[in-house]
Amino acid sequence: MIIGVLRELGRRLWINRATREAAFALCSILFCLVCFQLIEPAVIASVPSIGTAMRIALFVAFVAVTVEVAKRSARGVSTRQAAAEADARAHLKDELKSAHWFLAEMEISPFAEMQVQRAAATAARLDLADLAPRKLSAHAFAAGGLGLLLAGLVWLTPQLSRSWDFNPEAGPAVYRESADLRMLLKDAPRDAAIEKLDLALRRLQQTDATAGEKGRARADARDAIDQANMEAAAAREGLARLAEALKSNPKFESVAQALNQGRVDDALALLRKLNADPAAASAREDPAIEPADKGSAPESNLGLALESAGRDLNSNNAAVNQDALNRVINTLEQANERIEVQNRVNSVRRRMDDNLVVTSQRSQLTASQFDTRSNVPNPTPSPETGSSNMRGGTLFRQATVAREENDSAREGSQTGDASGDSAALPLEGTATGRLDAQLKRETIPRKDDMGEEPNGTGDPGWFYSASREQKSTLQIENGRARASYDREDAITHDRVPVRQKSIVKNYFLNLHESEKE
Amino acid sequence: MNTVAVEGKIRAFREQFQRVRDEISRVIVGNEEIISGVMTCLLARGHVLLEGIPGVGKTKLVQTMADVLHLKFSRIQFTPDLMPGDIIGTNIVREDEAGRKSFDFQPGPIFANIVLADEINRATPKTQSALLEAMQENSVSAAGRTHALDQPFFVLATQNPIELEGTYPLPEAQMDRFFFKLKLDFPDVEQLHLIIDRTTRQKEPAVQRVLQQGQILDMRETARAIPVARPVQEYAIRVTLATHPESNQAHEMAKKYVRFGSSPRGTQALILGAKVHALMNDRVYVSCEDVRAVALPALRHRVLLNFEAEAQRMDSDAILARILEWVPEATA
Repeated sequence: MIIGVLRELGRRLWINRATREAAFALCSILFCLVCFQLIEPAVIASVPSIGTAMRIALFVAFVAVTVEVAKRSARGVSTRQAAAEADARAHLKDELKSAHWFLAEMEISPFAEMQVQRAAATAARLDLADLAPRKLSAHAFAAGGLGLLLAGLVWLTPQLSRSWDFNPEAGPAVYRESADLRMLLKDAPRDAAIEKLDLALRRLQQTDATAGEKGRARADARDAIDQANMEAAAAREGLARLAEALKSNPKFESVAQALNQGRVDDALALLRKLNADPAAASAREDPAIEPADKGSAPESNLGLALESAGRDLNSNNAAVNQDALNRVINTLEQANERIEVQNRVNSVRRRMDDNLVVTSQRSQLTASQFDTRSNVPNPTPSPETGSSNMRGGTLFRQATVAREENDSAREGSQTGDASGDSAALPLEGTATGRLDAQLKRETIPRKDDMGEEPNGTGDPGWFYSASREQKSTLQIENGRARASYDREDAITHDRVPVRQKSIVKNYFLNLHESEKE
Repeated sequence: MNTVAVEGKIRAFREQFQRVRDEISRVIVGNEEIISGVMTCLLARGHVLLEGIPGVGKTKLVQTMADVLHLKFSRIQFTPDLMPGDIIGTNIVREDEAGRKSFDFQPGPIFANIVLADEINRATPKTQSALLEAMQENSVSAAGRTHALDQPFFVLATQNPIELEGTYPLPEAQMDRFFFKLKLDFPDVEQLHLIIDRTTRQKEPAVQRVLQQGQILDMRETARAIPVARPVQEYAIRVTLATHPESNQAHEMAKKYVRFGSSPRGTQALILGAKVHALMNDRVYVSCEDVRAVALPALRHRVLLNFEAEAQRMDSDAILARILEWVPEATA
């Protein structure tokens, strides 16, 4: 009787213990997952390489806990343990424990026999359901609660991670965007800048890249774009000088005109036609005439090469003339390629700027902090993001700069960006005055055509001058020191300092309201 | 012996125990635990050391007990000039009718069933040891002859804890001979009223002899027959070992405050006392609760404290209470 009751009680206790152990293990695992979910973005943001190690450590801990729980659950509950547990739970004062021991270990004396009889009667009266109820333990409820919390955290992760500047959901979007951008470069002429940009986009495309690696890839992409723009600017400048050099020669007047108008393909076609002329061809076949600069090293600078070739083209020496023509054609082709490269990389740049809306929504001091529209015209107008194609103003000297009379020959390529990405719109709203530099449209007075408006057909008589020292309208009390700015930044929920918030908000609101107008 | 006979013995044990206790309670106010402790010692073949301030009823308790039990009672008032022969007895020269002289042993007061050794710490160690030897051996030796003491032989010693001048505190080894050390506390207000009511009238309450010598011996046999399961015995051993500072099962307080832990006699006292306690509670087995119930009187005089404990006024009862809370019961 006693043994039977104790066996049944032991089975119930084992089930309860296994349930409790499993719930405890689940509770522990879920707790670790919740903690991991909470701290992972912050930890990875500070130490990117620790993410994999954390996951491995977490996995090992889970395996260890599971194995330990399985081992503990595998051990059954003996009848002795059941007797001790029954004594403790029913306050039997060691009655069943003693009786069990007397039955198993001891020669039964009359006193022991009597005790066993009494214990059997007691065991028969025991309510096992009351002693070991089959109900879920507190651990099970805790595990359920933690599971719900984990699910909530997983669901809320995009919102939470925004404050950590880490958005896992942005990964696939960035991947698609990077793939689209690479498609833009597919048929572009192979160039060092294109290669560098393609490499950077490929890195952006990698799903396992960290935020830091992606940031560096974006910076590399911008470097490549800037490089391409610089080279294209040099090429354009060379084209202008070539046109200047050829303008005086009636033979190449049409070429010069085409170059001035930016029709490089037409200029190339005209030059090729001249190159195919029979007179020129006969001169080309005369071996007695040596090219004036045969054997000279080719110009590394495309602009200088074009200028040099243009000068040679005006030479009276037929051989030199012919050689210069060939060089002009070759160099023009290169310049054309660079311009094509520039067009491609600028397309990529515009797309990247559009894509930055996703980033700008998490960034500081952005218009999209207060506006969820995806086609914000000025996504990130701040030096941190490097974007500057802002209507009515630019932070950098990015407009085409016309060479003045007193400028040196290289002035244009060194002082301005020839991308021509600056919109010629007037400033809008008073809040935009906080920008450090603004473009001002200026007209160049000339002796022959004073006051003539630029119409695109003649020489450009106007340009944008970038103000170098535009006085900021930001008051001194709002211009916080960087250290205090960072501190305030850290304590506000939307990462915009309290004192700066209204200024920044007004700035962008005015900007958009001006657009609507 | 069948279970019916066992049932009868247990019932008789409880009834007789209860009768003795009730009868003593007619004279002694309160102190139920002390009465039970004294009875436990008697039935477990032990001796008891009663400690309390003067006037709390130590001697009265023993006298009342002797009146209740139909046993031979003697009282020895221990003084510094008391000699061993005054306790054990001595050989005297006796001359017969023929004029021949011979030594004849004159038994001392120790030849009784219940011996009250009043203020035992006032006698010299030599005299104390004579009594303690008899307690241990249940016999005395005089003039080369051993004289067995009549059973039951039960010594109740009393001592005053506050008066140390002119006393000879019992050595630890001799303290160990006592089965229990019981402390009599000062009675509370209600008990004082009762004491005054009972003792200041013309007639003090009288008690009846309710237990014969044979019945006591039967009760002793019954108590010894109670079985003890190994887990409970293991618990008693763990409690004992927890008092040993050098043991790996020692309690932190024992390591800090105890100089010497309980002897194996302490464990014996735990088990035997627990058996009587179990019987008193109508159980035929010993539980850990019984062990806990007798742990303080059985071990308090066997745990010797160090200087640090004395400096911090830490007594053995506090240490034992912590140990009893700390030692887990054996589950299997």
